[in-house]
Amino acid sequence: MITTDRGATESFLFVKGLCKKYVRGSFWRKRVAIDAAAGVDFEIAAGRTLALVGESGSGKSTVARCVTRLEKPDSGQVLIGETDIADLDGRELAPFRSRIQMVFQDAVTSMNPSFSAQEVIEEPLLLDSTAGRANLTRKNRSELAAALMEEVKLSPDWLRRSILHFSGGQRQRLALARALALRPQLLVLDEALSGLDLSTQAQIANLLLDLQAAHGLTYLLISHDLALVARLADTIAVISAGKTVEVGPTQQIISSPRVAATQQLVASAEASASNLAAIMGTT
Amino acid sequence: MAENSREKFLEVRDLTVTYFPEGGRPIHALDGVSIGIGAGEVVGILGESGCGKSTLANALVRLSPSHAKIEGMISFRGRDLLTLPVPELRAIRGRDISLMGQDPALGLNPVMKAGTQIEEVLRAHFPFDRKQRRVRAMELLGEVGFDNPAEIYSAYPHQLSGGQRQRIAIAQALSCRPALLIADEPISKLDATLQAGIVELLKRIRRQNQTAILLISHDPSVFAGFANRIAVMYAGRVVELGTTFQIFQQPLHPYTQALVRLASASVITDAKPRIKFPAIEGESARPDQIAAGCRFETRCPERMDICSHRYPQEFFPEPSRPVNCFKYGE
Amino acid sequence: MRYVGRRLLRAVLLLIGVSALCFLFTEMAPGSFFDEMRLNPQISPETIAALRSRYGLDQPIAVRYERWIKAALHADLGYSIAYNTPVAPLLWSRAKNTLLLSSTALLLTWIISVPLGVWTAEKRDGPLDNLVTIASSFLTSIPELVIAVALLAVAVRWHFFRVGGMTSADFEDLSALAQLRDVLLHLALPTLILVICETAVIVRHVRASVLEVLQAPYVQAARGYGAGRSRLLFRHVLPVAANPAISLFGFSLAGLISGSLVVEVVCGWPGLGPLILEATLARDLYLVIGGIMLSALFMVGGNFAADLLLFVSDPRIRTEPADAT
Repeated sequence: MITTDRGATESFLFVKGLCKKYVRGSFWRKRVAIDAAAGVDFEIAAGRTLALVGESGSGKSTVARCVTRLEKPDSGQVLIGETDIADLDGRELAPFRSRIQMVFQDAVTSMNPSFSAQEVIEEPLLLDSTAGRANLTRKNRSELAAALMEEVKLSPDWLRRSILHFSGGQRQRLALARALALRPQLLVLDEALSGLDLSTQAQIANLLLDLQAAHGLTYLLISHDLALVARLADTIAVISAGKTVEVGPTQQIISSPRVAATQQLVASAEASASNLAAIMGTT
Repeated sequence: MAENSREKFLEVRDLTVTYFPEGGRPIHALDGVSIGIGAGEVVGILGESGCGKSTLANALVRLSPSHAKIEGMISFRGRDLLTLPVPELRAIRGRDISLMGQDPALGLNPVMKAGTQIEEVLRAHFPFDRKQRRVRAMELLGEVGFDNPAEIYSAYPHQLSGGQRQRIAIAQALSCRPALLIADEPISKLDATLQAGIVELLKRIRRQNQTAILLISHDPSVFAGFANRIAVMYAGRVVELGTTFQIFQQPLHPYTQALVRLASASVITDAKPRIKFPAIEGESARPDQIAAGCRFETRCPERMDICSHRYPQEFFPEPSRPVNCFKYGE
Repeated sequence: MRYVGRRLLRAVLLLIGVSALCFLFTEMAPGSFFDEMRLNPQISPETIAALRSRYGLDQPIAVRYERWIKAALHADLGYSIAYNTPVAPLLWSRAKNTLLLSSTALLLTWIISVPLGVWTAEKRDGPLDNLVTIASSFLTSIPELVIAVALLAVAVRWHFFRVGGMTSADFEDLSALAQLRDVLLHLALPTLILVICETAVIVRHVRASVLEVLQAPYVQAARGYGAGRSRLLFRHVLPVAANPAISLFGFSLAGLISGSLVVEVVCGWPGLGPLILEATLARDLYLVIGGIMLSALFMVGGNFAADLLLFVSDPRIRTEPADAT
């Protein structure tokens, strides 16, 4: 059974029984099916954050890609509000694309290196087919891009600069600005904080909290680092070998993990905590 | 730089590395860094991206890019590595000083078996025959924690996981029993669950072989319980030096204080959802735009007028405890 | 082995496909061999019809195709109407000449390009690198035809090379050693042209792939472990840089039959190129098809050989990667 917080907020994203197989090989090769996701269940209330935590290879990225419909799930439900988007295609899916946006781990490779900051942020505006942003003039778009840059604490003077001049942390902010361009309701952050310096991670995490408060965003946070997401997430879902093995409120998961996979994650996080505690003389 | 009296077998004095990339401004990656390492000691370099820590690691074995200008002195067992002829330098690389790079996925040759890559290091330094090398490689694979050395020996890097690749890199670094192992961000690219294992491995290696380790990381918690001393680097310079205990218990430089505060706030046991991290505001100083005064000044919560005019020299609020900050002197 | 089997099957299917297309296109092309004859009032329509039926040209295309395939499996490629002789031996005698020229050029090209490419990559921006870069840019922008004609003009003035054909007029009267010398002197010019044109292209590719590997982190790591220059080059760099080079080599092999057409025509080398050209102009059906199939055979074979070489030399192709989700 999944425990979710039942409050005034309804569940914005409801995932049940999500399954996705990747088949490697073709007519020529022996087909090998890899069960990337084999039964994933969780839900996120509107305006809340759920962290999907697990080791590399546990299937987290697959879930992210299925929720944003970069891939089509083999089976299961992905409910946005009342609509199941798991089976939708093409035109029916289009309105949902602007409501769910994704931020990837490696800002360096998720952006076209020949683009300027402005081009990166504006691209979703140019491609979006829904009525909301379609009738923007070039000037409107520029202004919007500048406003978005300010929201992510980047100077709008840098709009025309090539992204090659941006540091890793700055590019991740750009990625956030890009993700916000279509005013989504759900942001999927796939290891978006991994590979950053500690200080940069903290800044971006704080930015995420600010943006959430300002826009009422719902976050699906994907990570291998339990300690990092513990501050950001209301609920944690632990995934192992393609299945959700435990779901619960953050405090509960951390203080009393039930399943082996969760315990392992908590133990690693606690180990580094105890090292620090020992050296700092705190307990 | 006055440090504790233990004999240093590696002494770096006023190391300055400037890059001259094509068509760009000179980049002052390292600006007068001095540090010493004693036998069997673990010295940590704490700093964020762009502070020059990788530049330091590469410069120690003279592996900087060809357009780099290196000044200063690196004295290893009495010889200056910067003026050493190349063949002698090669004899030291991998044998007395081993450098382990940041990304284990990229640091291994994609078309060579894992075991062979370990043997390559042996080959460069010892006249072993093929059989002896293989035996030694298998031993090393066991030492770094593989239960199935034969399988791993014949595997190619793309068949191995991230954690396994990191262990291979460690096996390579250890193979000639170096006096100094330079570990550049050894765990930052690994899953949280694998990180402790690698740190334990490094600790074990240090215990068993008395290998000195220069441990480079942006995350203070790596050093806890492992490093003897920590040098904090910012924008190409060392800004504070002390024992691990001192750095964590009484950090002196505002930057160090902010990092330690951040690290302790990031631990899981204190996590309460929706409470912000005590992040350091602002961006790290760009190495091609060096300010005249203290380089941390724009982000410092305790900045004073003098900080933007002059660079703070070394002050010693305690013996053997240098810190470059005007809070501690004029 | 499955990899090899798959590639082989693919190659065979490809050849069959090409042969079918060949037939189709030659059928669709306007005109036939007998069009010239039809215009000649001295040849009666009945004669033409008889000739046509003799060469099986009055059959529907499917039948002709079937008969051709069956014969081809026995190495019988039909009959050349223009030369009045079976196609297969005719093709083969000319193909030998082409192969002599193109294999010599291939060998020399690669023997020069690989070391040159490696050298210029290592000594990047040095004087040799600059020279080679300028020369190869220059040469690749000039059509092969122009280079061929230019060198031909020089050779004629110079009198060192024997120009025109493969042998001199008095070939039959020469001793065996003199005959060899004669062929070699005739071979020199066309080979030189081919080598110049091909080296310009290949050296750049070799240089590019070596350069890329030289900058890779694993090569820096190997330097960090004290590997010496030659060990680094031969054991760490070249095996990885070989992959793109081998693909390129496959293209070179693939072009062994077809790549030297222009040079053969310009220098009068009695190879396959001029033969196919004439046959196409004359609508000599089976000779054209036979020539195309031989060319296709080398194309497919060359790529297949490259695939095999890659399989053997690059473990990333041979082995399965670790599963990653």
